[in-house]
Amino acid sequence: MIDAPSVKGFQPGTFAAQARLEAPVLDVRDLQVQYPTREGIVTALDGLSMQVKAGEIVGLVGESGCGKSTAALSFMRLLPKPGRIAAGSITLDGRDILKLSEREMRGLRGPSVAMIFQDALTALDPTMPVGKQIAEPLRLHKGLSGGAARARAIELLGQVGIPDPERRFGQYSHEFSGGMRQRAMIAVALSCGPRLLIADEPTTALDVTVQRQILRLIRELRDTSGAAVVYITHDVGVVAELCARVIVMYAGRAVETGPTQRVFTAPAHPYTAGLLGSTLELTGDRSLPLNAIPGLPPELIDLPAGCAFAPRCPLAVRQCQEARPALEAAGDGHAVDHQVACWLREA
Amino acid sequence: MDTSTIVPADISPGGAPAGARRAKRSRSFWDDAWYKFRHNWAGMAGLTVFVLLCLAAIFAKQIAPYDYLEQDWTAILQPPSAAHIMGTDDLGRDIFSRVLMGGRTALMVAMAISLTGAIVGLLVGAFSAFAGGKVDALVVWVIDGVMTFPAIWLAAFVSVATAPALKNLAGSLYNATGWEFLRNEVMISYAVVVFAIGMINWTWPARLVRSQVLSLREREFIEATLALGARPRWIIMKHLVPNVLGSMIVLVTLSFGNAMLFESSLSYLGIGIRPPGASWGAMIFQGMSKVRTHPYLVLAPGITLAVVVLALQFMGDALNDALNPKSRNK
Repeated sequence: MIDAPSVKGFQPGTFAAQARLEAPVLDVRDLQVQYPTREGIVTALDGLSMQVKAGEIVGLVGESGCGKSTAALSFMRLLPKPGRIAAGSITLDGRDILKLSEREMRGLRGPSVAMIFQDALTALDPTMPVGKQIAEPLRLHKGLSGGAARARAIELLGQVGIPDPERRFGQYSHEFSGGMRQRAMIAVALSCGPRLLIADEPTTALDVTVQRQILRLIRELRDTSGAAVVYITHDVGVVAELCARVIVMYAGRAVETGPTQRVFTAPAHPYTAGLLGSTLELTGDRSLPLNAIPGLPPELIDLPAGCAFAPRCPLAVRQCQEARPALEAAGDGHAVDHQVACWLREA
Repeated sequence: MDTSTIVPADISPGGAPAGARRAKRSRSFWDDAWYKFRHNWAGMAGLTVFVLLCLAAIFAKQIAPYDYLEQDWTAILQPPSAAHIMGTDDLGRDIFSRVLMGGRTALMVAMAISLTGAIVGLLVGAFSAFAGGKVDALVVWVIDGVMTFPAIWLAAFVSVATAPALKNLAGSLYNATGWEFLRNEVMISYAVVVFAIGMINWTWPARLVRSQVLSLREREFIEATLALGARPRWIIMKHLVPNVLGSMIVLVTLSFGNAMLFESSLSYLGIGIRPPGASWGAMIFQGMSKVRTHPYLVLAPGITLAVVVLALQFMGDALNDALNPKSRNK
């Protein structure tokens, strides 16, 4: 048999219990990613630290260009040229991936870490039947023959909720609906039973109802496989629904991290508050000061010395312009791991 | 729903909803392409002519009423008649038989040129796009350089310049191997023509493949395959090549006709296929001196060449429409 992620014997709760004991699947320390350009060095990611345990879903949220996708690509060591990891460490399943050879890293992509892309239409090859694309990693990593890989791919198609998987196996991506395509994409990512699943805005291109189904599917698959999930999105609603913990990013830095419930009910960073205020319009909570955050995120070349959000921050004081606040305990006493990078945290 | 209902062919395209026909069965990329090609009359006409040419070339010896080299001194410069349907030339050779053999020459040469051009172009283009940087710049520079020269001039130059060298090579190969065909003058002239045109013909596919690979490389599914731990070679063979294949087929079809024209042009100039061999270009050249009194000497091979090249052009255009994913859902 294939050593696929075993479904039986795992209850959703077991992972939560296990997670506390286990070492994190993904352990990122002070990650700094830079892109040398003609105008200067762009620091796309600056000092990101995060841990994701098995069975945990961590949300990475922020505006476009805040470094979410850069983070995802660096976890797979697939940064586009000329991007490079300038500092920090990434430990995946106990191995420091920055020290691995390209060949060893290829061996991890698929079985250890896999990615769900935003647009399944472009992430699936238009000239290859969808089933074959699901079978592809099985043939690459597990050395399965055509027949065994086919059988497993059909099984996976069924697992991600695609009806009539036998027939669907031979179809092309343009014959799938948007939601089905995304499911197929998820099946591709899951085929080798990865320990870490990175989902880069997988529901952004979908209808709201389909979005719901995909989120449910991701949660179910997390429950059955016990994979650690990094969920990247700009949609705080999705984070609230799916993620146990959240990292709010701004201009390449984490500005606030903590349990989602804590962060979203009592945001300690004005940016988080602004993000929530500008999206959760139907909650009726109008006490937050902003409906939209004025201004634009800064250019990542020569960032100001102070807090990157200071120019847009309604609460900024002089200290904010002069020095950059570190990510430290929010000091609200309720959650130990609620951290924020803001000079006003005690206030 | 009763899918077995037979829709009369004449009303199905407009009458039945397009979606109904589509929904019945899954149509792959190639099914879809074939469907569209079939409904393009020019393309189908081109294909028919091409298939006929292939059959005529393969069975030339069986179809031809005379040996193409057989000289009949009693029937010199005969106009078309029942005995010689395209007439005879100034050596009394049957023109129809020679046109058939010329078709074989044109087909063989064009096939060799198109295939080598496609393979070399594919390799060079893909390599250049992947290597990037200075290597890519150099390759583009060479491609542009070759394309700057008038192709026929360059082919003539290469043909004249390399013929003695290739002859020597064949001679020494013969000494080493003893294979009789290496002493065949016609064979060597074939090789020279293929080599000369092949030297120039790889640039178009190379350029196409390079630009295609550059754009495909940015597509997400390449990145997605990388993210599954695939080696670059796997990505090239399983994902890039199939995606480039469609436009390659179109280009090869179009270059096929081009190569035939080229071979005829070189032969017309007297530096292509040597006299005992039959070539449409050489036949036109030989007929030109008598074109006023015996126009059929030129018309027979000329019209054949024009029809075949036009047919290939039609076929290429139809393939282009059929294989272009952007025009798929029409």
